Amino acid sequence: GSDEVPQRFARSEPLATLGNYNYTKYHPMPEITAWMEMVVKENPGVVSAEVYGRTFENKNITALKIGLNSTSSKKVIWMDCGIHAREWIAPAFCQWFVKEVKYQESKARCIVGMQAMILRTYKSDERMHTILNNVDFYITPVLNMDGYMYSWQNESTRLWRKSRSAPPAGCNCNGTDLNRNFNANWGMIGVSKDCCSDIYCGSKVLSESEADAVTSFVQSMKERVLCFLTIHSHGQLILVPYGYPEIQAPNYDELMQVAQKASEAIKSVHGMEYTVGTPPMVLYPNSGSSRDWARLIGIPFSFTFELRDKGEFGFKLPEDQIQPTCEEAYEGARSIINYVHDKNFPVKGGSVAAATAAFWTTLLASCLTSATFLTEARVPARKILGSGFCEVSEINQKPAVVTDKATADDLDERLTGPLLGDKQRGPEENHNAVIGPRHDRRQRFRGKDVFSQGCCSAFVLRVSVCHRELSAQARLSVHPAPAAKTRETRSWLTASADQR
Amino acid sequence: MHRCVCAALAVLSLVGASPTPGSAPPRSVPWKASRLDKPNEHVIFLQYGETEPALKLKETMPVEELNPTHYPARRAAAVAQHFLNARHGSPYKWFHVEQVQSATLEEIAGVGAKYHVVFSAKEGVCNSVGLCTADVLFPEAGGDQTAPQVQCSCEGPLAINASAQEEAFYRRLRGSNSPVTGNNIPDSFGFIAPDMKPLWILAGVASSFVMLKESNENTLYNLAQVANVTQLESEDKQLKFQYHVLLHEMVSQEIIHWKLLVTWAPAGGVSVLHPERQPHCHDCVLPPATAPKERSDPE
Repeated sequence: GSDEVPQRFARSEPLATLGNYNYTKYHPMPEITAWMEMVVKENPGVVSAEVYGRTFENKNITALKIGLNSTSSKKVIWMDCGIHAREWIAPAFCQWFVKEVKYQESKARCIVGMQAMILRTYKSDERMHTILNNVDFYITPVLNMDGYMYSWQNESTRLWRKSRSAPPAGCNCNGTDLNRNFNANWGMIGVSKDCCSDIYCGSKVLSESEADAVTSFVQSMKERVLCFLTIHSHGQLILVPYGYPEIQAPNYDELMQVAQKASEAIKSVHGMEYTVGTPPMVLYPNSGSSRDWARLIGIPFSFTFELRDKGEFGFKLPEDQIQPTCEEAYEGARSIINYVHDKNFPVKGGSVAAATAAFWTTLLASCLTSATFLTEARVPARKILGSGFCEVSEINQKPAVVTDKATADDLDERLTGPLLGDKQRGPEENHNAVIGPRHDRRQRFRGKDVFSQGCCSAFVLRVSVCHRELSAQARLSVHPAPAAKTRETRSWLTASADQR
Repeated sequence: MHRCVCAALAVLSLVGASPTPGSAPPRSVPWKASRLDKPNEHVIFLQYGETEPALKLKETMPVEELNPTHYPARRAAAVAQHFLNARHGSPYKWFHVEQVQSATLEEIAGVGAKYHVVFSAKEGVCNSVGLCTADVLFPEAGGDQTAPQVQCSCEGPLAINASAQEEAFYRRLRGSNSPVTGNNIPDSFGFIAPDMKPLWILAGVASSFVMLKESNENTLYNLAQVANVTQLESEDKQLKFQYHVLLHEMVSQEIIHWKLLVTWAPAGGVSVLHPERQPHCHDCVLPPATAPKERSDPE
């Protein structure tokens, strides 16, 4: 070992653009602050910053508000990260979440705006657009900024947990456990009254300015808050109120169901198990937590996420696990958000749209899993200047690329007509099944498109092109594949009717 | 991750009770009456190697089925994990609980709480998985015994043959002129240099002795960090290290510092001497690694 200050602890370069930001590395507080400013600056009208309190060391506690057409009466979903300083994966997740929400929303906006062939497979992107219309997210990437900065000072401070407030009289250790300081059966169990303890609950309820800031802010909008999510590590758990034993939330069964579904969504990404339950069941009883407080004041859905791992690295989760952890946690959070949103903003269904959606889903699924997938005729996305269509008559095999605008427009109208309109909620699985494994989807939309011939590539490239905000008028030609059986153009309408 | 030479995955049974035939018995932990290798006939608790006739005389409560995802079962499994690591671990072999399959609890008046737990365990170097069955007895408070008693056996390809890597590591460190040292493993970003990895794993194994001894029904321990490790001169063929480790205890959320003297050789397993809990240091900065003075007599 050596005594030199690691490069990472040195002062960081200013953030040039959001495109440079590395979401798969841990960032010190100044970089996170700069990132937040950049997110606001590059997304006017969608993202704004709200300072809602001060830390003990007088830093501004800031949330990013993300929403479309924000009004003061919109419903709210709350997420905070980094209430415990050493849980670095949590702020990393909040940043990832903001990035994903923005990304999916802009993708949806692009698709809608272009009147493209809207595939039901991308309904979750549409969904995010809808959600952002109906709901404002308030996301606090680092709540315990003092503690977080302290944990970055050197290797000795890395495992700090609490705030950095001054000790009370008669005791001489700094800091209070913010997640024991809330007004929720404060001081009763799972706490210590010794200020040197890592679960010191404070000299009194809300003695800590950070806990007080969250309390005031959330209280001021509590009727609007649909869901309260607080992100921690480690343990791979989804915790449901209450941490205080022997009391049960009135909607306990529903909370458990929603959490269970989130756990399944998480598992579907990388196979990781997240255990669901109340803290007295799966962790330890405790009181004064923000999750308990949120539920007690009437916010119907309140969950704690304990992210990876289960103890092997603990709080020092290696950076190469940031991406997979964030990916799975995102699916878990989205599962809850979707449920909570749909419960408050019920969607109308349409059977024709449903059938058509199912048809496209199956079709594209077979496209993507066919043997010709990922063979020659790779067309890098950068070279594509526009979008291409396929005639449905030859889907999956020989692509007949439509090259004249009139036919393309006609096809466009026929294909997109029944799919627009009523928002359709279908099973989450469709989304994943059709566009393939998660990493493929991401690869596409980062411009590393390597899909092969056929209509699949046209569909897929269409969206990736859209995402890259390129012209919609250029045409794409793809090498034809060996001919095989064809479908009649009309048959897709018949098929969709059959599937009703 | 190390590339494993795991070609021959012998389906051996890891049994906590009997010593491996043909090899030297594992070194004991000399700070208390050796519970880990010498059955003590005065002790009425369940020891590995012993059967349970004495226990039948005691009053027992009915056996309670436990939810395997709830914390009591998971804490008991963690204790079995510490036992497995202390018993069978090496710089190229350590075990973690994957998932608890089932568990029961039997409160035995005057004795303690006996958990029977079935769990899948994963060996971290070769990523092999096996099924383990353990009996973990937490002694009743107030007696002279505080540490849990464990019996554990595992099936499946857990007893992998890592001897090639162990030998290479052993020879490299024995043959080197400069004793190896390391600080802050993993670093703040979770990174472990490849040549430090066996020392980190060895720290985990050595810490298991402490974590096993310190565990009760209200604790859940993990190794949080190796603050520093320094290789020492050794009088015999063992490799010898001074470790300063940080353990995380989940229920209290405390970080607890321990200093351990650790010896290991491929044939003999890991031994821990002179474990010393360091005073709780709230805002302290860890001193830089220095070679400690050799002790002439045990504490």
